[in-house]
Amino acid sequence: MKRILIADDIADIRQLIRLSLEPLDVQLTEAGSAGEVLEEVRRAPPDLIILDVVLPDADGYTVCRTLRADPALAATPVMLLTARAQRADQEQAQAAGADVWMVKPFSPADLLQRVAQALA
Amino acid sequence: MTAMDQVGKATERVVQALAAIQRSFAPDGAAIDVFSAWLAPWQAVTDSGLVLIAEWLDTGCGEPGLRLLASSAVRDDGPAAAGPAAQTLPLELEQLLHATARSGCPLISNASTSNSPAAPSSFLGLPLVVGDHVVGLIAVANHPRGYEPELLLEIEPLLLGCAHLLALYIDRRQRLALETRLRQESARQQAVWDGSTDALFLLGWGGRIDAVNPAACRLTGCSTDELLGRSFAGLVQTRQWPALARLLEQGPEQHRQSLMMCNRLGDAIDAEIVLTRLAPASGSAWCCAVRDIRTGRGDAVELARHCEQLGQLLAASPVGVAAFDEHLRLSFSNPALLRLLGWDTADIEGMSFETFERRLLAQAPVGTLLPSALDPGGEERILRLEHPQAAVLVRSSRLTDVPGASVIVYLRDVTRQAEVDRLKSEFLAAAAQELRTPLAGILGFSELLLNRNFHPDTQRELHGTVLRQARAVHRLVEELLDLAQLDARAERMLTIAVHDAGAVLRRVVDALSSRHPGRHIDLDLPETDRPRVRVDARRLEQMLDHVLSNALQYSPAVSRVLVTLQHDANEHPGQVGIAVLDGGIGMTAEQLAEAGRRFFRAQAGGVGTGAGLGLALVRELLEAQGGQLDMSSRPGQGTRVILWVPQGGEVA
Repeated sequence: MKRILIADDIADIRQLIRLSLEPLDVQLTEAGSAGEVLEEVRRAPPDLIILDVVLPDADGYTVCRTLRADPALAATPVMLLTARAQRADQEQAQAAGADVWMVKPFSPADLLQRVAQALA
Repeated sequence: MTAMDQVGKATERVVQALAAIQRSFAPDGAAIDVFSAWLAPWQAVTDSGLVLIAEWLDTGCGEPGLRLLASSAVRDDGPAAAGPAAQTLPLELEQLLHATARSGCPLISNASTSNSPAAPSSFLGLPLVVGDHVVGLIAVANHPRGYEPELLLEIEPLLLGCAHLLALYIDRRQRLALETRLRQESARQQAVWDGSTDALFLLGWGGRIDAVNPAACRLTGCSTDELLGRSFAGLVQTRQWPALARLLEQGPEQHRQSLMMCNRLGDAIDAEIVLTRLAPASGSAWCCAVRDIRTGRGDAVELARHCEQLGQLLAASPVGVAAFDEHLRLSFSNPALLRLLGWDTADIEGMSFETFERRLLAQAPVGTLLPSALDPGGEERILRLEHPQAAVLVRSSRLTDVPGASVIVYLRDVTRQAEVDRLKSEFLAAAAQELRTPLAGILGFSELLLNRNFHPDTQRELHGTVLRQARAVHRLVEELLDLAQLDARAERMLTIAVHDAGAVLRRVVDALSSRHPGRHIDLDLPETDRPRVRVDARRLEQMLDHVLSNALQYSPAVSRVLVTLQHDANEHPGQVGIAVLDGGIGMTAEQLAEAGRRFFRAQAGGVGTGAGLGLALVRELLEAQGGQLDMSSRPGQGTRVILWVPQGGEVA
């Protein structure tokens, strides 16, 4: 079973993502901070990280770059799901090494589709 | 036959003869012959008479002449025979004629008619009778050169003996032309005289003032009448009299000298005079031109002052200005330019325009292009500098005709405006981002609720989440509006009045307690202390609600939140502090410094929405009411927030 790590500091958003992905047969774990994300990834690398940019301890770009810099974790697919929706934010996401960039608000159906594609 | 009869008859014959001449209109010499013929009777009439017919000539050498056309015999010693022309004139007559010439008539030359190529072609004459005697002849001649017979001939009656006759043709046109020329000359001289800015005095011998021009009146403050006849020395300071006297007595033809003069009020005039000796015929001895060099110096001082003012303006101007001359060398720069670019005066002296541009580019990020300064459009361009410090300048340039400033470059510092613009953009981006998070919840959960079948409990929970997120959006929008209003016109959105601080606190705590059942908010209000505050009560409640909500949100459910009233006569005189103390997660010093800025969120406590605007709004609302926000915190040890508000008088 594929594993997805949902990283967002807002519980409502984590719940929304979880419910959106319910139709998929995947195992979901959650993290509320950058530290938790890295800890979880190192413990058991997921098949996809759905990562928010605004996290209390470090931003999503930093998390992404940290993963890419670590040879053991560099291949972990990352989807940045963010309320920062400007062109510069997208460029920053690409520069940090994110595989997918998606903005909030989002349609659960769209998210489901993009995640399914990313796992395929 | 009486003499008068004879004259009468002679006259008659003359008239007849003239009529005949007119009829025959004999050309040239013929006329002279005919004319001679009628001179004879005159000769008969006068014993030793003289008839002189002459014509004015233009001799072509600038000097008018009179040509003798015909005359009667003049000799006393022989019978007078009217010749075609008189060869000579008697001495006395010549003298007389010279005298006439001196008296204003042009000179007379004694030309022989026999050599004359041109002669009158017609005559018309009338005798002039004085008493019993014909003393002259008035005649009109039509000139061969096409002169009009307007030619009026004047008579100069000369009484030689008792009945000598002399007729002089005087061409008045020349005199009129001369008079016109003299009038014009005189008008020109008058204009120069009147219009001169130098004071002009005509001085007679001994320095008596004969004439003055208007400038002289202005200089001295006296009228023309007051000046005429006065001694010029009276206008000169006493101690300068000897110098003036020497000058007038034996000065050179033209002399220039500085003299201290004085005007009517006794004010000293620092004057330069130019004294010119005049020809005796002019009627005055000297022309004295006086220039007030004090005024001239005054102009120079004024100009210098003006220049200095301009210099100060340019020096004080925040706009950097650099001017380049015709050879594109720096001819001027002001302090603002040096300040903006971080340059030294010594660095740029005589700098070429090209070097200037190169140095400017060296301070800009790589790849910056400057528009050509030789583009007369003078368009404004943003120029970002990295060195010596980051700055945003607006650069424009002009081509001018100003000497020494063919190209002028202007640099305006807009770093601050650019920063404000940047902050605005950031604020908008942050606001949009802040709205997106709750909207994500509303839209996402709504879509799920619509498309999936959840357990009724889950459904209910999700509806609750949507409602909560929608409220968050609503609150954020309200707060944004409040902030915008605070930015624009804080005083108009507030209704300040005196209130009982305790009553306001109780209302807020009661409302919050009912919204958060199970949470403990301790309101510690001493019985003896019932302070009054001057605030907008509704806004104070809003602020307290926010601060207390934060306290509840960031502290464990089991902990208590304490609300007290504070006084601090030293730090906050005239204010009352409303302190909210929680036992929550607290903030680091960094977070504390950031808190109160718009869109700051201390920590994600797993709650639904960002609380970015709240504390910023509290701080700004408080300051708009004359209060302050005071916060202290330590991570893990809770946070204390004090709202200092102005103390008030009696409750309204």
